This record gives sequence, structure tokens and C-alpha cells, in this order.
Amino acid sequence: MTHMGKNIIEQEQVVRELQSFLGDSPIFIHVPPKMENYIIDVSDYISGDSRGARVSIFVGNGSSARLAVHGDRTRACMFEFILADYATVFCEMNHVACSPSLRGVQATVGLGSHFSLREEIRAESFFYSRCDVVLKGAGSSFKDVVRYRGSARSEIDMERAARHAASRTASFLDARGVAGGETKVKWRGKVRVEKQASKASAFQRHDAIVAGSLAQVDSAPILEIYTHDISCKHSASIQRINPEQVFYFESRGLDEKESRKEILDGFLAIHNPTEHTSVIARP
Amino acid sequence: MIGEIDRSKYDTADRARERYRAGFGVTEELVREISRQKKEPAWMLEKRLSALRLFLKTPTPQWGPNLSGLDLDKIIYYVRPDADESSLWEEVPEEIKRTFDRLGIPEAERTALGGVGAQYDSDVVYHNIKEEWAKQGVIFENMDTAVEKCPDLVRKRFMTSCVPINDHKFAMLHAAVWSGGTFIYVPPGVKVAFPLQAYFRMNAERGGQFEHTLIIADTDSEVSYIEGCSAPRYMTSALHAGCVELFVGEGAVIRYSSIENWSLNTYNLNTKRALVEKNGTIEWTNGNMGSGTTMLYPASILVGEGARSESLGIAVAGPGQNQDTGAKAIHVAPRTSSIIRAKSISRGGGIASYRGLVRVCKRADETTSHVVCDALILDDESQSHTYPFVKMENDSSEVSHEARAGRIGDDELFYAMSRGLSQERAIQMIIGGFVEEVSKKLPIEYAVEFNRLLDLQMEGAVG
Repeated sequence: MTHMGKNIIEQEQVVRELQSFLGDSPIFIHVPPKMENYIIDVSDYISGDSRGARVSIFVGNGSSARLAVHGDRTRACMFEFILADYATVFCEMNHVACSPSLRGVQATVGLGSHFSLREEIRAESFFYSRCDVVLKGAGSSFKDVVRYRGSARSEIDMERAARHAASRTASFLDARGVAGGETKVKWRGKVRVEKQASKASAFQRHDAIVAGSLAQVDSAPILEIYTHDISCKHSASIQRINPEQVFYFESRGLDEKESRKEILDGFLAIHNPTEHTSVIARP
Repeated sequence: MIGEIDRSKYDTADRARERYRAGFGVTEELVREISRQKKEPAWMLEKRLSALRLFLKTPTPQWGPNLSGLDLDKIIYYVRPDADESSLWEEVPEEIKRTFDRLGIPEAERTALGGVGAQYDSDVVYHNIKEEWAKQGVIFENMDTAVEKCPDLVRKRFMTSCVPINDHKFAMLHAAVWSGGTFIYVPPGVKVAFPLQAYFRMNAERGGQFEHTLIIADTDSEVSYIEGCSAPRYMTSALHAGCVELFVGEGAVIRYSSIENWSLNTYNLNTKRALVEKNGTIEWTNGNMGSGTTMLYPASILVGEGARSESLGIAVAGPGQNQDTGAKAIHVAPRTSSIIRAKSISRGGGIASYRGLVRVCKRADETTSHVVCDALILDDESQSHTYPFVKMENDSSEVSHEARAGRIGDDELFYAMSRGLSQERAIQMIIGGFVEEVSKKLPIEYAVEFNRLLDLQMEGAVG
């Protein structure tokens, strides 16, 4: 367990390297108050020859915004979100990491606001992602859905952190992934409920399938709770491809390769993909 | 039930005569002196000295609870009571006998146990095993005596493959200054029906207790072992850094239970580990009620095909306590399985943490492991943390982990109170249900003691 300290140092180094690579001139996007369904495609803001950017997004009171992040131009990006009161942001990130990619998200969520993040990754190389969300306003919430698939000799290093710093806040972290080939996955989920965050609810889960004979998954869903009137749950599982499910498909005429593909596609499917602002159950 | 038990029986220091008391701190001279007084063979002295050299150059671990209050130079590492080991209770010196009488040890031996050992500070003062088991070849000895009497069995396994001397800083310290403890050997096919017990009492101020427990269950044998621990309360820090090594042979079963109830000035930095061979089973039951800071993660290394591990732990963190406990399961061989169930209660500003590791190695095909953590937080001063690490290096195995943390539900409380119970009694009942899994695993006398201790811990928990 001594590796825990080392891990944090390594990650801080990666973030520092990312920041120095991106420089100090961020792209600033301002969503004015009371805008409805404001749509932003981040790749429009990044010049063609660029490999990444720092993007700061401020969402005003009562606004709702959708943000799309995709394409090779966004393969090294740092996002800073500030959600004012009663704002809603849905951020969708898709990425095919054929070359080393880095991504960082930091968000501060205000009173009654909701931040929803959906990230889908196909990695064939090194992919590093860090997401740090502070639920600062009472009644704010965060929903994070991650799906990843690693193949060849990829390395996926992900960290999701949700800090409940106000009462009646809610977080929902759902990560699923498949480690194929010789993929190495490291996943850290960190939910911290501060003393002042009474009536907070937190749920986090990480499910992985080891599909390659040389693949490895290292998972740690961490909970730190500093008060008592809360409800927190977490779960993690690391499984194989269920041979009974393969047999079921084979008995219906699919070969083994197709069966495995169907099972993995089903495992990684996102239910209700359009449902992103659902109210999370509160205690 | 509250009030039936008097905490002073655990916390009060007794005036026992001492034969030898070392100065503060650990030095090469002290290590040589311990070895000389015990008339140890040269290999053991060499092991102690190698461990000391490693200890002196290894930094204190920085992860986990804060150990800055522990001054290792202000601990007395060796205190010998003025008593020789005896197998007759009457021969134990009066002051020491009184302590153990108060803790109920001879009574338990008569009614429930197959053998008993009692250690006072650094030395074992009483040891006895029922004739029935001795006749079948079961060895139940003081660890110091075992080094002399069973050198072949001990030398091969003492801090070698299970807990090597370079495992971590406090294992190094333990290897350098260990004293007393228990040695059990169960021959092939023998099933010991009654549990064997040892009670460790640390009486000296600024004392350190470093007892070593080595249990070898040979092929197809079975044994249950219970450890109880306590120490009086002083204003200064005390250190307990024991080491438990369990060797579970092919098809053998070891059930290891311990109720650790050190006083609040104690740093309990214990190492417990089992090596489990083919089709062997290790069952851990651990209750941590006392000590100021605890770091304890019983580990099962499943090296034989079909080996099984079951670990059940409860930690109660009251005011000023930091209980950092958990379990480890390392699956090395195919078709091994492990179950870890951890429960914690924190109240009055106490911190209860679960820190665990499940690792499935490359060769461990078709392994299963399941971890469940439940945490109860009784007030908003208290904390509860969960750090579960899962590492999977195999594509045919399954590992799952689940945890939940929260307070006592209003509905549960309302239900119990609507049946005429006071709020305090209702909370006691709910907590009793929460820990039932652990108390059911203990022999009845210990279950009663455990429940009483828990009630005592919970006294005044309702604000």
C-alpha cells in the first residue's frame, strides 16, 4: 500500500508537465446567465496545428450548456469549469488515443447546479485522465459516466475525485472498462465528504473486465467521510468474460470472437445516453 | 448491561516485581543482552542483529495514521517480570496472578479452553495444555522455550518465508527485540476440539511488547487459537509490535481470533500473516476495541491450489482513537478464494479506516474474492474512511468489493423505541445486531466479554 504516496507524486508531476506544455494563455468561454441549451464544440476554439489547450468555461446563473470535446486537437487539454448558481452543464468527451493523451477536468459547482460528464475512451497508447470536482454550493450534484477500452499495449491511468463541501450535495460516479491485449489500467476513485456536508449522498462504482491474458487492472474506490448524517456507497468489481454468456451466444450461431465482442459491447453500453440531468436520489 | 463491567480492571497498573528492566531505546547491547538472558542459539542472535541493522536505516512509514507521537527512543523494549514460567497456576506470583484472575483467565481455562498461556510484559509466566492434546503430539509452548526445544521446526519458519525480517520497519524492530509469545504445532490429522488461548498483558510504563506467535498446522489438522490483549493506562506512550505467523498445511484449518483491548496510550502496530497451502483454510476474526492508534492488516497468502481465506474484522474507534485496520488477500495459486468482511463503528471523534488489498497474481486462475465493508458513524465529530486496493493480473478470475457508510437509520431507531426501549438501549441493540457476525464467531465466554466491552465503549454515545 506504500505505492499510494508514490502514485500521488507521479500524478502531480504529470499535471505539472501538462500545464507547462499548455502554457499560460487559456481559451476562455463565457456562457451568459439564463441561456438555455448553449452548445459549445471545443475543437472549434483550438487551432488546427495545436495539440491541446487550456480551456476555462464560466457558466452563468440559471444557464444550461452542452459541451462536446472530441478529435485529435483535444488530446492534451485541461478544462476548468465554474458553474454559478442553478446552472447545468453536460460535457461529452470522446477520444481515440492512438498516441499519448492527457486530459484534466476541474470543476467548481455552485448552489443547486448540476455538472454531468461523460467520457468514452479507446486507448491504444498511454491515456491519462484526471477529474476533480468540488461540490461547493448546497444542493449541487455531479454525475460522471466513464467507459474505456484498452487494447494492444495501452496504459490507462484515471482518477476521479468528488469533494462534497456543502450540505445536500450528491455525486454519482460510474466507470466501466475493458482491458484487452496487454493493457494496464489504474483507476482511482476518491469521494471525500467534508464535515459541513450533512445529508450528502455519494455513490461510486468501477467495473472492469480483463479480456487480455496479459492485461492488468489496479482499482481503488476510496471514501473519506468526515461527518455522519450521510449515505455513501461504493463498489468495484474486476471480472473475466463470463464463459456461460459466450456459450449462450455460440449456441445461437455466433463464433467465439463475435460472442466476446457482443458481450463487451453490452457491458460498455450506456443506458439512457440522453439522460444527463437526472436528479440524483438524495437521502 | 452497562455498569456490569469495570474498565479499571483493564486500565489499572499492578505493582509486580521486575527481574530486569532495560533502559530507554533499542541498541545492539540491548539486543545482545536479551539474547544472552534467553540463552538463545547463535542463529537467533544473528537474526536479531541483522533485523536491528535494517531497522536503524529504515524510515518510519509515512502513509496511514500519524505516528509522530511515538518516540521510539522513549520506549523500554525489555522488561522481565520476577517470575519463572510455570504450568501450575498456584506457582505464579501473587501480584501477577491477581491481574490475570481479575481478567478471568483461569476461569476461562477451566470452562472453555484446551490450553492457556499468559504473558506479563516480556515473559510468559504461565503455560499449560490439557493432557489429552499433549498426548496426541500437540505442542503448545512459550516461544522462547520452543526456540530451545523445537529448533528444527522453529528455525525453518521463524521470520523467514511468512513475515521476513525486512518486511517493514516495525517487523524489523520486532525481529530485533521479540520476547515471549506462543508456539503451537499440531501434527498431521489431529483436530484440536477446544481452542488454545494466550493472554498478553503489558504492565510497565513506556513499555513495549513484542510477542511472537508461530502456529504450524500440519497436513489435515485443525486448531483454534484465541488471543486477548490489554495494558494499563499511563500518560506516556506504549508500543505493541507483535508478530503472528501462521502456517496452514495441506487441507489444514486454523481459526485465529483476537480481541485487542490495549489502553488508549498504546500504539498497536501489529503484523499478522498466514501462508496457506493446498486446500488449507485460514479464518481470521479480529476485534479492535482499544489502543490510541492501530495499524493492523491481517494478510493471507494463498500459495496452494484451492486455499481459502476468510477474514472478519470489527474496529471500534472512540474519542482519541484512530483504528486503521483492514485485511489483505494475496492469491498466488489457482482456484483460491477469499472473503473479507470488515465492520467499523466510529463515535466521539474517533477515526475508523478500512485499508485493504486483494491481489490476484498471474498464475491464480479461476480465483474469486469478495470484500464487504460496513461503517457506522454515530456523530458528526467522527470519521470513517475506506481505502480498498484491488489488483488483478489474471483474466479468468473475479474480484468484487462493496462498501457502505452511514449513520443509524431513523426508521430503525423509531421502530425499536416504539416497542418501549429507551434511545440508548435501542442504539445498543442496533449496534449489537451490527456486530453479531463477529461475536457469533467467538466462543461463548469471549462473545459475552466482547459484547460487554462494546457496551462499555458505547456508554454515553447517545447525545
